This record gives sequence, C-alpha cells and structure tokens, in this order.
Amino acid sequence: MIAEAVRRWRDEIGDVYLLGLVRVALGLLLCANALRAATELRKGFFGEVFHWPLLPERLVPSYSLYTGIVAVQILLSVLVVAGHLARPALLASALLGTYVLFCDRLQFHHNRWALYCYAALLALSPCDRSLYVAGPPASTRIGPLWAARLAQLQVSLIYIASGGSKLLDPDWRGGRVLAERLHLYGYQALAAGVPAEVLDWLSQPGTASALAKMAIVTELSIAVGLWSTRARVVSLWWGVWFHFVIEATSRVEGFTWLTLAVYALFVTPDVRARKVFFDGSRTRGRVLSRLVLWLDWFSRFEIRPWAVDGVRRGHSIVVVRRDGTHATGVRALAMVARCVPLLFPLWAPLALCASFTKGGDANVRA
Amino acid sequence: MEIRLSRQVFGQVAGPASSGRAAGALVPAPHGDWSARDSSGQLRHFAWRDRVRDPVLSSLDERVLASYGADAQLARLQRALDDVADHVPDDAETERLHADVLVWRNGRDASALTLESHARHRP
Repeated sequence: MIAEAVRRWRDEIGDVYLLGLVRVALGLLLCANALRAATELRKGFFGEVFHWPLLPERLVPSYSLYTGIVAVQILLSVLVVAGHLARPALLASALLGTYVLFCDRLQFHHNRWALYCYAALLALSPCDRSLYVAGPPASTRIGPLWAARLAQLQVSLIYIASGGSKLLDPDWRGGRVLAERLHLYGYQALAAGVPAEVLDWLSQPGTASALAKMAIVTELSIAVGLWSTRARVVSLWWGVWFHFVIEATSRVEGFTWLTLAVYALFVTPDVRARKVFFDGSRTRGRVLSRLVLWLDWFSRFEIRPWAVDGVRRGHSIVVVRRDGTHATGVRALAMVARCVPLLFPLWAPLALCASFTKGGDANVRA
Repeated sequence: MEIRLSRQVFGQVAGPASSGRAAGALVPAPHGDWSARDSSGQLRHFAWRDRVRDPVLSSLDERVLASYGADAQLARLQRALDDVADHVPDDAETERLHADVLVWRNGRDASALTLESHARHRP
C-alpha cells in the first residue's frame, strides 16, 4: 500500500502552468531578498562587523566577493522571473542564499530559510514550461508533479513545526507569549490606528489565551486540511486570513507573501476547466468579464460572450462549473472569488451569502 | 530582555591610561558608548554599535524581544561581547566588557544575569 502510494506520487503528471506562476512569485521574493541584502551592504559589509559563521571564518567571503554574490543573486532572481534558465537559477539562488546564512547565523530568519527550501524544491519541478519570456516554446505543459508535492509537504511541515512547538510550550498555549508581544509592541499597533480599547481587550489574559489556542489549532488544522479534497479550500481561505493577521501584527519580512505564493501549489492543476459566459450587450457583463480576465491568474476560466438563452437571460455573467452546472448571481460571484486569487479572501462570506439564496443555481448542464 | 553595558578597567593601571579610575572598577557604558585612552594616552571614543549592527543586539538600555528565545539571544550576546573585546585595539584601559541583562521570560518577573567577555591583554 505504501509502495503503491509512493509509486503514485512519483508518476503523477499534470498541467504545470501553476508551477510557472509560483516560480514567478518566488523569483520576485528572491529579488526582494537580494535587494534587501544590497541595501544592507551599502550600510556596511557583515564580514567587517560582528558576525557569527557556522562555517570556518576562512570560508566567509571578502567584501568584494560578497558584493559579487549579491549581484549574482539579483541576476538569478531576474532569470527566475523571466523563466530563462529558471531551474538552474532557482537552485543556484537556494545554494547561494544558504551559503550566506551559513556565513552569518545572525542573518538567519525562518522566512529566508523557507524561501531557499521552496526555491530548491521548485527547481526540481518543470516550472519553466509556462510564463517565460525567453527561450524556445515548451513542447508540452504536462509534466511530473512529484517535486511540487514535496513543496506542498514543506508547507505542511512548516505549519506542523510552528503549531507543534507552540502546543508543547505551556507559555505559548497559555497566551503568555502573545500577551508579552502585545505588551512590547502594542505601541506600534496604536500608531497604526488600532483603538486602545481593542488593544486592551487583546492583552487580557483570557483573550490572549484564546487567541493562542486559536493560532495553534489554525496551524495544525491547515497542515492537515490542505491534503483533504473537501477541506482544502476552507483551509486555504482560513490560512490567507491567518497570514494577513500575522502580516499586520508582526515583522515577518516576506513570509506572508511566500506562503500565499506556495498556496497556489494546492490549486488543482487543470486550466480553463470552468467557463464564464457574459452578456456582451450589457456594460456590466463586459466589465465583469474583463475583470475576471485580468484577475484570473490561475487560468481557471474560459471566458466568452453567450448567445442569450432561457438560462442566461437577465444575467450579466453565468459561471459554468467543472461538473457542468451553472451558477448565476451571488453564486457566480462566489465561484469567481473561489478561483481568483485577489478575490479569494471574500470567497467564504460570498459563499455563505450564496447558500441563503434561493436562485442562482440553474440545474442545467452546459 | 534588556542589556546594560559596562566595562572593567585593568587591575593595575599606570600612567595616563588610568583616567583617574579605580583599578578593576566597573565603568558604565551608557547606550554602548565609552571613551578610553590608547597606549599613547590619547583619549578615544568607542561605540558598541560600530561593531554590532544586529538590530536586537545593538539595542542597549531598552527592552527588546528575543524573537528566537532568550537562550539564543544570550548566546549571541556572549559572542558579541567577545567579538567587540577583540576589536577595540586602541582601548588601553578596558580589560573586559560586562553586560548586565534583565530577562523577562514571557512576562514573568525579571531575572538578572551578567555576561562578560574574555579578558583582553593590555596593549
């Protein structure tokens, strides 16, 4: 049974369009990371001040060599984004970044290490077959997905490590750590416009304890839920908001955007399996279809105008689901929000509203 | 945690290097700044931040969050003390650096501890 599962994992193939999208996102994050290093270098070279290498000191680069490394990191990130020699560039970015972390453990941050791990794993996948600006066209966009599955596993491992360590720490699960952070950095939230009453309420031991437990349950349940076909979309939606809250309340460099980028690996690898029909005679229909076209980064929808019939009359857009059923009105909006990254945070409330509507689910197959 | 830096001057100070301070005395270095004479008697200024750029380690005399835990931060501080002690060759007065650290473990009452650099050789 285990051997069969391993064989399935090894031999799974699918559309790799989304891997290209994740590659572009990682390339941008690698670029931001390299530009941060360049900015810090302008203020001073880490090797000339206090640093703490894991490697022998003789293996720490000189100023000129490190300057070259940072320049190469920027160049590699551009190659990753452009999709030209993207896989070697991803691997080289991961190795160079890891080397720098080994040269100075003061520069170690979880988000940086996670970025290099994802870059190395993505380098093993055929992520260069879509969204590239140079090189010959890929012969096929179908490819093996085992490396993408490893990157998915990495997502879960991070949640298990983070949630598990909090669970095992009595101070964390009791809310003490959160309360202390609010105590130390509450002034930043105040400066950002959070009302003092809200901050006081959050700092209460009972509230901090409840929030801590919620964070632990969130991390552990996302780690598991991402692997369930039924729970995946809810886990992703909850995870998006969880990371938005972290981004608003903590300094995590690019970790929020990194995690949201690799969430795309959990999107079912089928392209244009759904359809959006719009009423070309209506301004609203044309605007909505154009909006979906612009925001449909995952290429979920085939978008085209319709010839008005009994089902579609009176609707600006009609969504045809993967199973061929139609959705209109709020249900159509919920369907679009479910598939469009920028609107995804709105998916659950829209889906909840849609569940209370009587219409909007025309039981007609395309 | 909160770090206060001070320095211990050499036990047997002679000549102009003494600056009138008692031998072996602990002299505060507020915000990590101090002045000391070099071997020729010239007064020089030194700053912890010239050598320690890490945002947390360079924040002295104020309470900061040890993101990766107090133990990891204390280990870093110990290394930083030794490193700075090794990189102020023009300071002919300071024998070793002291860091008085207050550690609040997740909001509990503070516990105090002292770290010190290895001893420096008189230039």
